[in-house]
Amino acid sequence: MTSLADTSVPAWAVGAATVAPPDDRGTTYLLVGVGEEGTALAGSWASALPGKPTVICGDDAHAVSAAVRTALDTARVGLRVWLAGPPGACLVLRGLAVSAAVEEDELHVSVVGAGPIEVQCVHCQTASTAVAIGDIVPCGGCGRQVVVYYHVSRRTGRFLGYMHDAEEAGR
Amino acid sequence: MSQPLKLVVSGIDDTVAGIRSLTLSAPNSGRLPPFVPGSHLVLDCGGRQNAYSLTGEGVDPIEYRISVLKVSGGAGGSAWVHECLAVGDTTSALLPRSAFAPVARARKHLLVAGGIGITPIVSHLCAARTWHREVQVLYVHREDSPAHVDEVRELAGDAADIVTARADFRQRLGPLLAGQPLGTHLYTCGPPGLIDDVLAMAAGHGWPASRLHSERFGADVLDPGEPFDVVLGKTGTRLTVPSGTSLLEALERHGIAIPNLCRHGVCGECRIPVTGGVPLHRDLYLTDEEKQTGDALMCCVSRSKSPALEVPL
Repeated sequence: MTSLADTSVPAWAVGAATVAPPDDRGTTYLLVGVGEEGTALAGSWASALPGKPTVICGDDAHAVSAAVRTALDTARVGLRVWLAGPPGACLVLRGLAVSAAVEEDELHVSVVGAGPIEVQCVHCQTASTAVAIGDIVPCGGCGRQVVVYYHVSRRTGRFLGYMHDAEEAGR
Repeated sequence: MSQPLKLVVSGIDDTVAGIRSLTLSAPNSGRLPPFVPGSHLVLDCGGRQNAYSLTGEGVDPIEYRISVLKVSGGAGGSAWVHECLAVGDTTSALLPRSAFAPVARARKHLLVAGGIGITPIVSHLCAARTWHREVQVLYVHREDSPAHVDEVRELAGDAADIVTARADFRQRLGPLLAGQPLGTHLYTCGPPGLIDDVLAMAAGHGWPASRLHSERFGADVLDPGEPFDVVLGKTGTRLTVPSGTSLLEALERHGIAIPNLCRHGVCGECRIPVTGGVPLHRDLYLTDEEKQTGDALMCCVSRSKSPALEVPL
């Protein structure tokens, strides 16, 4: 049995992590909150930080992604990115941050609240939503029943999904 | 450990006062092993091993170039290069090694050098030109010792800022560190004081450790160190390692042969296990994790944080 610790799934994404406090040695901050609890946490971070951190909040990752991307595009080294929200949203937002060249030690993730995770079908590339690793969900693109595999893309934040009974179907 | 390379001195350039630049070729004029930017060569300098940064292009090289600053009051390796080496002479070196390579995912490379610390930066610049990497250079040198200045200007063009006063250097460093786009990595090489300043200033501007890369010259970084004791596990013998003597030398004097090559904490050959005490790591070989674990050390340069170390020898 593969241990999740040996996979691309971060411990915080499966609720297994005791997260270290965020690094506050930056010169500027981008605080992103998703959902009610994420928004509240981002707000409390903002009030505890000196200066004027950028705060972006919304109901899901896609509601905030354009604003996050813009903020990262113009950022200078010295920035810290702190994410608060459900695991699926944090994975997607981490993907945005990593793609914008944010390093691991500039990124903090606090998982709060519940929400869907995204799964990308290997057969047609369409992203669908699921609840947890191991779920079998219909792909929104090709209709295949895909299993959510314990592999998640750092770049897109989506889990890998493949047709759960591919071997059976070929017999 | 691979065989040392045989190298022939094919060119000597003494244009810059106090700095001798060598061109080294394979004896049969063939290809030399390639190297990544920022690599150094551990050169046999008349019986002493010194590490020097390679300054040329590392892809399929037919020659190696190094620049050697004459260190007065040093162990004699650099003086040997300056006084004894002539074109046509043969010497040997270990294969190039790197602890200062450019980070492939970096969007921009900020290169900060002081004095002879420009040498690994020159090889970074050669590679940056080949691979169209965005670079910016801040280089401070003594007025009378303009090492590689023309080359840096040629390779970096407008992206090079070259100054001769330490005050100018400091004045420019702050705004430079404050204004870098996300994705920039910083590489710094020079005297230990300059490296410490650059890294401290970068941290003050919010740079995280992952973006900071520095190359300390083996010989410069090592102060004589505090004395400590070493307890030999097999016999229970207790030896004192005085300040200025390495653990390797102390063990050798006691008749214990330890395989070793570079004696500068670079090659990894003299690694020994540690069963007690806390090592003070000063090498470039062990990973950060291995250093933290503390169950081995490179006895040529590393010492002890605790009053005594225990080794199973």
